[in-house]
Amino acid sequence: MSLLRNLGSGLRSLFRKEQVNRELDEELGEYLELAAAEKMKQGMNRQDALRAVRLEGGSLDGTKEIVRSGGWESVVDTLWRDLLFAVRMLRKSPGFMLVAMLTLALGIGGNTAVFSVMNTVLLRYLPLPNPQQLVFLRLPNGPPDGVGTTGDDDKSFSYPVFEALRKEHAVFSDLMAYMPLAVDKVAVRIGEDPEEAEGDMVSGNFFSGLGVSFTRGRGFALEDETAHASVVVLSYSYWTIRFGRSPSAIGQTIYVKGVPFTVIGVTAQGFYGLEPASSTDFWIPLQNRPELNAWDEEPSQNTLYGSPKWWCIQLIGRFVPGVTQSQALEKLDPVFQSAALVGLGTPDPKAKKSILAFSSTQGIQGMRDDYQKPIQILLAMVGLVLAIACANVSTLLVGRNATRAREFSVRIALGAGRSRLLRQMLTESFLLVAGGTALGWMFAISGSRALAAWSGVEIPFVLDSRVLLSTLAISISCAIVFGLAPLRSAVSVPVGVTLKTSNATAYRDQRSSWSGKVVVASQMALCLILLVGSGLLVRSLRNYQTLPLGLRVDGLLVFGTDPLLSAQRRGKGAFLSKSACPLACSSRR
Amino acid sequence: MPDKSSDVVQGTLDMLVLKTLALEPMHGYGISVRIEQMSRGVFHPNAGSLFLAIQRLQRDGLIDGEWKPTENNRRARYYVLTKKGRQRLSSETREWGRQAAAIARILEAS
Repeated sequence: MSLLRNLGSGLRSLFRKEQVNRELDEELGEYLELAAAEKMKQGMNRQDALRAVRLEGGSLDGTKEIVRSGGWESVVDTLWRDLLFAVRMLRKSPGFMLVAMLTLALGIGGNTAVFSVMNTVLLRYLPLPNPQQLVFLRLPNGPPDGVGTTGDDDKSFSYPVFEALRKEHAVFSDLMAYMPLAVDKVAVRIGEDPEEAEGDMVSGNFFSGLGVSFTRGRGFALEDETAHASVVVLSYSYWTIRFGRSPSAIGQTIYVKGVPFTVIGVTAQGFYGLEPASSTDFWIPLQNRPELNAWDEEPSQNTLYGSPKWWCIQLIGRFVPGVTQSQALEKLDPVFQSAALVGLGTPDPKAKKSILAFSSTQGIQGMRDDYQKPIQILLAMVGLVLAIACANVSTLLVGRNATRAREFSVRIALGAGRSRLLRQMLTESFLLVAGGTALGWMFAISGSRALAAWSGVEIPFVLDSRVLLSTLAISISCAIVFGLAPLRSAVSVPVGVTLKTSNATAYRDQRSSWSGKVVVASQMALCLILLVGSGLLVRSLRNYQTLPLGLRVDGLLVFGTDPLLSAQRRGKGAFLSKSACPLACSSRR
Repeated sequence: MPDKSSDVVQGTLDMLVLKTLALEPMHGYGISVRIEQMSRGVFHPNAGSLFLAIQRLQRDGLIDGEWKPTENNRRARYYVLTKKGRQRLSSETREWGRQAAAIARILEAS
């Protein structure tokens, strides 16, 4: 109630300033009159009386200022005026403004871009509820000898292992299986249009266990897995690209390698599946048809669905809350060891033993180990760039304020408080930083897009709230640093000295030039570090380029083919014999 | 009359203004004069802090202002205590009594 009243009254003084001021004038004027009338009764003449009242209670304008500054709206008002003034001051020197903002934008933009890459690759959890409970299952030693493998030896399990482990409800509230239909994409037909898409076969609890939510329709149930049902779930982005987000997509038929599947659901936006660094387009329940074998593998005795020797299933588990990784391993290892030997006969006691392990679902699996170091080094380097940018801008500001010393002195002489000047400078630097941050944000968006395109990661490098917060923290600390850097030189200057000296012989304080020297020195040091670092980097890149390979490279052509893309093995053979042989023959000529 | 007027004890000006207005509606100058009279010249609130207090009390809904003609045919804003203001005055008076007695006891302890 009183808060509303306070707000209302404040807003009234902000927006109907004229009237509020007039009323205050009238009220204070009346006060003055009455006080003067009192004095006149004691025998003073009117002028003396008015003067006496002013002497006692201070000037009318001073009083008005006191009353006006009492409400919260005066803070808003001065802030607004500071802001307008800062804009005016900055517009007076557009070159300075441009250089400072661009410098900041480069520093902040670079940091944001690299941080968002780091966030995606190293830190980000899967966009699912309680992602900390999720772990990938791993086989650091690979599967037992004598089984069919996929090449992803350290993360592929057999069907009996999956069945045995998923029953361990004391450890996993859910254990989900998934495996790709092909190394890259599989042949898909919708209506008459053939195309390629990335698809995974998954267990019935895949979506419910992960906690994936759905934009349209539903996910799979356990019956879909046991019946190997012909149903398919689309990803949000595939739904967008292929069906234009049409609700009528549900119920349509998609042919995967010629086998019809009915669309029953579309996952929520932002879920890209579990394949590292690429986005899955659709999911189907685990299939036992030979033509839909996992990894597009030619079905054989060792590589067919259900065969205990076909180690092709990737596993992700959701821990029961409170279970630690070591507890889980203790419970699961015996189960795993016995299930791993199903169908393999008596094991050779000398053979290597498979061991179970867990891997965090943070970041992008596989990329984390490879890129952790480079990204951290990159982050340190762009951090240095930002530090240099800060130092640059603050020296710019110090220089600018040194030439403005006269202006400051005039304003202090006219009665501006030092705190007011300080606030003014802080406002100016906040404005600079805000402009720089906005520009930097744009740099960051295009920069992280470029990085994503360059690295081939299909999962977008989202600039999420953590990135936003870190950028904000950087820019706010910048603003404070810049606001305070020129402070001493500006405020500590004695007014009289500056006013007396002419513009040409600007006042130089011993201490302020000392702090300037520190800034310049540290800036030089940082620049030197960066220069040496990037010099070494360029040097090693050049070495890579010019390193002798130990063979004659003139006229040598390196090329690659991707035969795995064609749907059938026989097709691969045909592809190789058709395209590679003529090349080999022609090169001999 | 003492030759020196003191500042009002910090934080008590609001209470004094409320007390003054509890007797009768009054304009700013009237409040100032009344406080001076009632304190027998010890307190002489200056216009700045007085009007600041008035603005504060008005925003808290403890007093209401209204323009009315004065005796010499001009107009001034007269302030009235609201119901809420009356309640606040009685609670603050009680609290003040308690604290003043406590402080007195401490100072008189030997």
